[in-house]
Amino acid sequence: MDSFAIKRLLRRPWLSLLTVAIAVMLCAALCYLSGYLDAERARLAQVRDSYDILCVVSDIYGTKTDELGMSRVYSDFILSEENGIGAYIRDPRMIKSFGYRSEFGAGSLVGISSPRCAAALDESMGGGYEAPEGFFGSEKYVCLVPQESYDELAGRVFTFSVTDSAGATPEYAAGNGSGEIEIQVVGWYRGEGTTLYMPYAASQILQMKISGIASTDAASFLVADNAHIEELIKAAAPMLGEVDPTAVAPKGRFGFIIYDEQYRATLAGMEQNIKRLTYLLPLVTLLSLGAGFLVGFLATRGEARTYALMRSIGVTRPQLFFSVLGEQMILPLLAALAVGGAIRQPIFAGVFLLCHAVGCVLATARAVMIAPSAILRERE
Amino acid sequence: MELLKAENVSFSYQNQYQTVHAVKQASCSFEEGKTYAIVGKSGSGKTTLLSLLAGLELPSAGDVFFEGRSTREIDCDAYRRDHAAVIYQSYNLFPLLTAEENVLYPLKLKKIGKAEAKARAHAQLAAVGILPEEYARFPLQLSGGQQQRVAIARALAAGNKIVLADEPTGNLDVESGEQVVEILIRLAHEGGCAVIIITHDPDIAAQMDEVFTMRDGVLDCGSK
Ligand SMILES: Nc1ncnc2c1ncn2[C@@H]1O[C@H](COP(=O)(O)OP(=O)(O)OP(=O)(O)O)[C@@H](O)[C@H]1O
Ligand SMILES: [Mg+2]
Repeated sequence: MDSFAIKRLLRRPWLSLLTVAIAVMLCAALCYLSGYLDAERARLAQVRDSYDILCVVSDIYGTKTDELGMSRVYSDFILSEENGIGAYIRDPRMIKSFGYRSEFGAGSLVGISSPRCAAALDESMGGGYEAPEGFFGSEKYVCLVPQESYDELAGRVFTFSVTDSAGATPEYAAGNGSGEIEIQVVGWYRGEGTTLYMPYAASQILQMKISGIASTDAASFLVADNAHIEELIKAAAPMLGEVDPTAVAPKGRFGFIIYDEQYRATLAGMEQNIKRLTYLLPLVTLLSLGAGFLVGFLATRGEARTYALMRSIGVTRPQLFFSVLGEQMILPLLAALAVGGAIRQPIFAGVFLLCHAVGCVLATARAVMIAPSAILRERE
Repeated sequence: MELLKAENVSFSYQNQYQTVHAVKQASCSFEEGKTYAIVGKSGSGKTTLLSLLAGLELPSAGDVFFEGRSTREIDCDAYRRDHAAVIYQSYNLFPLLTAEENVLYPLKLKKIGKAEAKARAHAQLAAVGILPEEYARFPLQLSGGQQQRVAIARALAAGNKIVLADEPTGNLDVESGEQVVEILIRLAHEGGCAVIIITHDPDIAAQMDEVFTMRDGVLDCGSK
């Protein structure tokens, strides 16, 4: 690269401008697209990892998701990691409710296994609560009351008369479905009303005590590994089959509905996007090569005499090659440095430069093959 | 002293259809401080002989010797850079470089320092009658004669001892042609170069120390 090369560049401003414009455009396109592709891939991975796909247990026809009266066998199957699908799910939400009567009124006493079982507690749905550590897994008779009553009731123990609707069904109830318990107020939830919340585990003990059975009214959970929903379906099959509204002789009593349409639509959209980008990138790379050849071709076109003259003055073929190539590459190099630096994509600026250089090399190699004696033959 | 010598040099152009024997067993020698004319009909092989002498082509048979060494052995690029300059009928200058830059170019190739290169370039440009205000002109802004003189200045600034000129006055009017020839003769007689001119002009040939005639590829070295 000598000062004459730079002078020659400046004295051919239009070609130099075109060279810079092409380089900036392609380099920017390549850097931008690759950055966008990376971001899309990361976003896809994030959606795969953290998207909440809700599964709701229902009767086998898919018509009812509460008051299921699902016996202990099922809830254990859902929760157990060894003998169930516990390993394939996360954030299980189990609900069992009772009726209660007490000195301050009557209402529902609802056993829940997670704050997300009830909108009043679920922060993502505008709810909120305050409860002691480990409340939702506790086996003690403790409960959360509405926030407005908490100041008055905090820490107090009440005697409740509790009734269990499932326990009233005589076939599988050993007890009579009602009884008395002492329960302590340990926290609050946002809202008002007569509903009280207790730990799901404690509700199971309570039901055992008054009805002689343990059952669950409603259950839902999230898929643990979104990429492998089929494994969950397979593992669940022995107890929770596929919901079939038209089933004549269903295999079991319960099934579960997977709410994954939105997840799949989101995923499909992103995958489509990524696919498009992965086609576009090599195209732009190829375009960079083509542009390199074009620029090289334009720069060397009509220069045959100049090159022959250089050769006849004693410039060797390698010297000529590198001098011509250097003259062509200096502007794209500067453009790539600027663009790569600005967009912070040095690797793809390098890829652009490399492809561009290959194009230039092809064009230049073709041009410098000229025999020095050719100048004696060429006529203007 | 003998600088350049051709010994039984032949050259033929070959393509798919035919073989043209452009130079047949030519022998001649060139000495320092002398001028030579090569004359002959169009197509007789003058340019071909010149390109052999310049190391632009290698002979099909025979040898061209520079200071006793065959052009087959020496580095012909270096030979042209350091010893033999070729001047063409036209298009001797790089169109995108100024007159001064054209002369500086080979000095740069020889890695001669900027200040010295400039001094040498200016001295040679002055010697061929290029005015300082013309240094910054591009070839297209110079007359044909001026262009040829810049090309000669380039050859001399680089210190070349052999000047091979292929019809250097072919595109020039009589007056500029005479000027160029005068300079070339001075180069040989005062500067000690070997100047070899291909020409169709009998007047120019008459001014040279020796005249060689080409006939159908055969060189007649009979002195005038
Ligand atoms: N590249 C080539 N391929 C084939 N034949 C060629 C080639 N170049 C020259 N010739 C032939 O070689 C012969 C000698 O050509 P050359 O150019 O040396 O002649 P010349 O004496 O310089 O002619 P002129 O006075 O017209 O310049 C001619 O017959 C020419 O047609
Ligand atoms: Mg000729």
